[in-house]
Amino acid sequence: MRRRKVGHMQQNIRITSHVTIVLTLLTALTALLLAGFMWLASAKVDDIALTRQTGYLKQGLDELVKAVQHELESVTTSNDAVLLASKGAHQWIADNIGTWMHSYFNHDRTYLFNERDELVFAMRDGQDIVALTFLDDEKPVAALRENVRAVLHRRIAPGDSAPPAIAEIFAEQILAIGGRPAVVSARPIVPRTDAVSIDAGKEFITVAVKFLDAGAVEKIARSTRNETLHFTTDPAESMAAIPIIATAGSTLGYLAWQPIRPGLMLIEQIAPAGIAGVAVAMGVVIFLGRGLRKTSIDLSESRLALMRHRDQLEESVRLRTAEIERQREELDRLLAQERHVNALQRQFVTMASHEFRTPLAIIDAAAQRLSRTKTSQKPEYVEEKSAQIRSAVLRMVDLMESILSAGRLETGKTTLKPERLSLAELIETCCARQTDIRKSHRFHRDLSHLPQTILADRATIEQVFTNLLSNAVKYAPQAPDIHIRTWTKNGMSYVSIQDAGIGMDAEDLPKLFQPYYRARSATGIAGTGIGLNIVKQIVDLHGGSISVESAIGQGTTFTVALPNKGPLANLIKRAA
Amino acid sequence: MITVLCIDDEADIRQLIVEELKDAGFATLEAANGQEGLEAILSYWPDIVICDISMPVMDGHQLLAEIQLNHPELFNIPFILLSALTDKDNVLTGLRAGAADYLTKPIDFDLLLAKLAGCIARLENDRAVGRAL
Repeated sequence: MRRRKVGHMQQNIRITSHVTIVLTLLTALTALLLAGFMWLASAKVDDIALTRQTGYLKQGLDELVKAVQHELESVTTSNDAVLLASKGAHQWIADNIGTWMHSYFNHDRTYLFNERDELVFAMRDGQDIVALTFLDDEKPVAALRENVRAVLHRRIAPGDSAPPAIAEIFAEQILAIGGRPAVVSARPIVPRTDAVSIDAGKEFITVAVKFLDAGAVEKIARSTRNETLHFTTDPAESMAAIPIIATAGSTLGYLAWQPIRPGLMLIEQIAPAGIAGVAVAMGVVIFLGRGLRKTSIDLSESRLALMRHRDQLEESVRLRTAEIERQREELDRLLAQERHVNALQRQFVTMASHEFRTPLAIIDAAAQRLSRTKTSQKPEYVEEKSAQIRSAVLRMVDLMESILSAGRLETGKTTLKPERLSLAELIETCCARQTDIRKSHRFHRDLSHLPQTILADRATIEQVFTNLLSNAVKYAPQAPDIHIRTWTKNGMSYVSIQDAGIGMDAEDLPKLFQPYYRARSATGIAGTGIGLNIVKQIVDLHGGSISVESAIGQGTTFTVALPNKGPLANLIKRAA
Repeated sequence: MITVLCIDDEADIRQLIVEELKDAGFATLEAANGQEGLEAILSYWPDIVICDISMPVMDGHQLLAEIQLNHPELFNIPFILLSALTDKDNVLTGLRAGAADYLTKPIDFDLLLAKLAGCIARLENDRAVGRAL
């Protein structure tokens, strides 16, 4: 479960990373879209601006061309002009026609022809040309002059029904002069009023040349504030241009200018601010994303810590509970054990009482018998009763000895006094005693395989065999044959006592040597339950061992092993 | 003659009791445990039974229960329990199971004989009443 949660949290952290990336990308995309829109908008704005610029310049060029007639008219329509020109007043012509055309109207060249079409005046670029010459403009100038002269001749020639008024005679042509586009215009000098008259065919004719790549265009550039406007025959790709078209229809060149792009200029102006803004926005997004991620990680870590803490808590509670449970079980076990010991002790007290009362009953009954029959007593009878009494007393002594031994063993006050003794003799004695107490059983003894003597404590070893033999008798009430076998092995003397009595359940065997414990098959047979415990302790003190084999109804065999060389030193010490 | 069955696993005690009873004029039977005792009762139908409790094979309580359960016709025979067990539990168990009396060891022969006399008086009375009816 914990692993799953950890995975879940790591997923959360990953998600926050993804969120940051997505937000950053979105911001970038938005900026890109905005830039695109702005680009499109600026292009549109630039388009519009270019159209307007073109319009203005076209209009300016048109007006420039259209103005030529009026300019020419304004210097040629005057009574003074007619009079002074015909009289050849050079200075006046220079001042009032040449200078005016040049200075006020930006005409580059001005020519004046007399009634015989002789060039009488010429001015170029504001310079009075005294030695009258043409440059590369003689042919077009002459052509224009001829045009005007032809119209003037039509006025005087008969047959023309509606010749134009003299003031309206005007010729104009746009063409290239020396590769330069120019407006060439011609007009006769005419009087303003009727006060002055000219003889038909005797008119002076003015021809002017205005180059479109010079002062005229500069004027347009100034008036439209288009500083880059200039003439070119081959405008660069990046330049805006309008064509200059000759009267004959061919394109003479272009007026070109660097187009003004307000949109682009705006973009250029705001681009740094925009880029900075986008950078800041992305920075903010990334910062927030990192913050989110950090918060998420912190949150995950604290949740992990919390989970760890909870697990530890659960673990410690579990351990504590287990500990309490273990202690409770231990207490229960101790209590049960205590109760068991108590029950065993109560049973012991009852049985001890019974065990004392039985020989006492014999003694008492025998005594009563003796006293009741004293008149007719035979010596044999007295003998028999005495024997019964002595036997009962022996039983009581054994019993008392057992109980006292148990007490001494329990308090560790038993001191062994090992001596050289014949185990065979000792067993014989014990058998004889048993026979004294109960004559019902027969002991079949084979004591020949024992060593001559062994080192052991006589009193306690006697107790061992007395107990085992009396048990064999007691628990085999209907099987009178008891077999005692002996052998020696590895420095140990072995004695086995076998009865064919009631036997014991296998379950009882491990507990058999515990104090007060009695096998369940012993029910109904009097006994204190301390005998085998005493036997075991004594054998242990001697450094020997005791084992038992038994089965219900099959009888029981106890085998005692005692070391021939006596109890080991450490065992003597322990007994002390 | 009144026949008394004495059941005890201690041969010495059994012998002493039997001696005393014979001296007092009873006919006696002996058994060493409950199982032998039951066989003797079934075979000889004694008038009174004196029975120990702690015995191998079948103890006194078991014998009483066996008779009550499987041989109701023998349940009329007065049972005097005679035991070295002096605790109240055993006394109550024995009396509830139908024992006529509960005596403890060591044995007071006068007391035992008096109890037997009482039982005999009751037996004879019962028999006399039975005959009269």
